[in-house]
Amino acid sequence: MINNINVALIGNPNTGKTSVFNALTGLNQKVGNYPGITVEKKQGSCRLDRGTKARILDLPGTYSLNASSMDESVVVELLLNKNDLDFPDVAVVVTDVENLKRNLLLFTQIKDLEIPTVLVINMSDQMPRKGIKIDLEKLEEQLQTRVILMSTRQKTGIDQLKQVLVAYRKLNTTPLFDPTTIDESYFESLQKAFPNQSLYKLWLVITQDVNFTKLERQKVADSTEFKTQSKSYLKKLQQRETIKRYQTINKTLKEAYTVNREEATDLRSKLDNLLIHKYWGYVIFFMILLSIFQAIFDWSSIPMDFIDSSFAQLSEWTKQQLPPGVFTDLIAEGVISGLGGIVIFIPQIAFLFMFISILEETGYMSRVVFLMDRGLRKFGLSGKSVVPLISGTACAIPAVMATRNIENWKERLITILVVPFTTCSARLPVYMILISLVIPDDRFLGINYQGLTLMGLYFLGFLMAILSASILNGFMKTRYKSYFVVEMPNYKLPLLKNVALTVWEKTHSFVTEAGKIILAISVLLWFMASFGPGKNFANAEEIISQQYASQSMSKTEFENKVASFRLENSYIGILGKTVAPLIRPLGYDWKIGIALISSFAAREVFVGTLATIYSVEQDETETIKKRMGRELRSDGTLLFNTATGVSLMLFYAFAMQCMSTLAIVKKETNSWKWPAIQLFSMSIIAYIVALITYQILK
Amino acid sequence: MEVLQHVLASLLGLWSLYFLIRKFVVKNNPATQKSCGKDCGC
Repeated sequence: MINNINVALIGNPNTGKTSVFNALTGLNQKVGNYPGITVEKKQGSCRLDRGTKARILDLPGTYSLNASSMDESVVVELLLNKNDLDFPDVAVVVTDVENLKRNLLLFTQIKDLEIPTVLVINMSDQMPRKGIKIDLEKLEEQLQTRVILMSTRQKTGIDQLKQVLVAYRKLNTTPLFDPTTIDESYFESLQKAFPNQSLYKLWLVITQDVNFTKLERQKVADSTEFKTQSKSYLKKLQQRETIKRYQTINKTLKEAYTVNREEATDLRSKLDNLLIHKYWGYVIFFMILLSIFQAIFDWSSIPMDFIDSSFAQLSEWTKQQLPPGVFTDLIAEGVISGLGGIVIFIPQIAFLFMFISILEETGYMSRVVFLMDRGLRKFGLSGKSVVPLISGTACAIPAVMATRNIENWKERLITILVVPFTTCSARLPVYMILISLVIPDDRFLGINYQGLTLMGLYFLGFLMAILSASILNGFMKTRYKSYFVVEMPNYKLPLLKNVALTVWEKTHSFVTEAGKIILAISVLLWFMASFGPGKNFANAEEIISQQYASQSMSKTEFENKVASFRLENSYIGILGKTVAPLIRPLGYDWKIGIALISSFAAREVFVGTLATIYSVEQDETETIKKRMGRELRSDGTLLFNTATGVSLMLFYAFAMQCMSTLAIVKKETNSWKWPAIQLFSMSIIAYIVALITYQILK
Repeated sequence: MEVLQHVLASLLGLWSLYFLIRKFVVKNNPATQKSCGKDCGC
C-alpha cells in the first residue's frame, strides 16, 4: 500500500522555490486557483520511495506569517487549518543562501506551529563565489531540524530532501521561540484563558484574523479571562516579536554562518567589498558627492543665467505692453520677479534629483544607507534614523513623517528634532545664489571652489544633525535601540524612464508647491513695498528734491533715489528697520531682514523676496544676481561680500526657517512644546554661528 | 482703466493673503491620533 503525504513548499519570494518544486515533481504538476481568489495554486506529485508518494504544494511566496496580502493570507490560513485537505504533513522552507538571515524569520514562525519542518538552503553552489561558509551540524542543532544544502542548478540536494521527507515523522516539532518573551503578562493571561492551545497559534488567530480549528478570533476576544488589546498595541507586539526572532536568528547565524567577503569572487561581492569598505567606502562616497556638486554648478550655470535674464526682459516687456497702473506694476515687479526666483532654480533641482535617482537606481543608495548606519551608531542614532536623515536632503516634511517606523519614542523624537539640520532642497536656492556671489568661480586641481562650498554645506548640515543627536541622546538616555534591516539589491544600470520620472516629479512639486507660496508672498511683499504710512512716503519726490537741491543728477539717478526713499518708508521698510538692529551685528541690512522674515514661510522665498524688493527699487532689466551683486551699504562698500555671504549661508544652514516643518513636528509629536524647543534652539545656534562668522571674516 | 487696475491688484493681494493663511493653519490630522510608540505621552 502506498503512503500519501502532503508536502508544502514555503519560502520568501525569489528563493528558487519554484525550481525546487519543478525538480521534485518534473512534469507531474498542475496549476489552478485557490477557491474564490485569484491566487495561483500549484500542485504536483513525486514518488519518494517505493512506499511513499508526496503531494507537493507550492505555496505563494511570503516574507513572514504576519500576512499583509492575499497571497500571504493563503499560507497562514492553510498552516492553521488542520481540516484542510492540503494541510501539510511536512513543511519545506526554501531559503536563499545569500539572504539566509531574512529567510529564517519565516522558518522560525513555521517551526513554532509545531509542523515537522525541513530547511532547504538553495543556491548553495554560490557559496564559494560569495565567500559563504555554513556549519551544517551547528545549524541543525540550533534550529532543531534537518538542514539541506541544495542547488537546483547543479541538481544537488534533491535526493537528500526526498530521504528526509520519507522520514518526516522523526523531525523535531518543538517550537523554537517562547512568545512570553514578547510580553509576559499578555501571553500568560492568554495561556491561562486557553490552557490547551499552542500560544503561537493563538497569537496568529488574534493578529491574522484567521480561524484555528474551532477557535475563532471572536471567541478569543469574548473570553472573560483574557482581553485583546487595541490594533496599534497588537502591531507593536508583532514588531517586538520580529525583533526578538531576529535576535535569536543573529545568535544562531553568528555561530553557524560566516561570510568572508574578501574570499568572494563574484562581481557584486567585489563591488560591495569596495563600496562598503570601512575606509574606502567613505572615500568613494565623498568622491561621488564631490563630482555631483561640481556637475550641479558646472552644468546649471548656463540655463540659470538664461532664465535669469529672460525673466528680467519679461518684466520690462510686460511693463511696456500693459497700460500703466497699479496692477501692471504688481505683475511686472511682484509676480514676474517672484516667479523668476522660483524658475531660476529648476536646473539645479533637476540635476540634483537626477543624480540622486541614478544612485538609487543603480543600487548604490542602499550601500550608502549601510555605510551611514555603521557610522551613526557611534553617535547614538540607530539604523532606522538613517532613512529620515537621508530623505531630509529632499525635504524635512516627509523625513519627519518617515520617523513613524521608529518604534522607540525617544529615539523617534531625537530623529524628528535633528532632521531639519540636514540640507533640504529649499536651502539650495539660497546657497546657490550666495555661493555664486561670494565664492570665486576658480578651480584648484580641477575642483571648483563653488561646488566644494556647496558640498561643505551639505556635510555641515549632516554633521550638525549627528552632533545634536549625540547631545540629545546624552540627555534623554535611550536604552533601547531599534533594529534596521536593509536588503542590498543587485547592481543594475539605471532605467532612463525611472530617472526622468523622478526628476519630473521633484521639479514639478518644487515649482507647484514652493512656487505658490513664493508667488503669494511676492504679491504681499509688493503691496507692502509699494505703499507706506505717513508723509515721508507720500512726499518722497519733494523730500529728495529738497535734499539734493544743490547737486546735479540725471533723471534716472533722481528716480532711483526717490524709489529707495519710498522703499525705506514703506510698510516693509518700517518692518525691516525694526529688526535691523538685531541683525546688524551679523552684517545684514534691513532688506535682508525682510527676506529673513518672509523666508520663515519657506527658505527658498529668500531669493524671491530680495528680487521683489530690488525690483520695486531699481530698473527691472537687471538680473537678480546682478542686483544683489551691486547692492551697497550706507558706507559705499558691497553688501554681499564674503563675510555677509558666508554668515548668511551658515545662518540658513542652522536656522529653523520653515513653518511647514514646525507644523508637521507639532502634528507628529502632538504638542507645541517640541517645535517651540526646535525653533528656539536652532535660531539661537544659527544666530551665534552667523555672528561669530561675520565678526571674524569682516 | 485705473479702477480696473486697482480692483485686479486688490483681488490678487486678497488671494495671496487667503492662500497663505490657509496653507499655514495647522489642521488636525487623524494620523497623529495613533500611538507614537514606547514612552509616548499621547
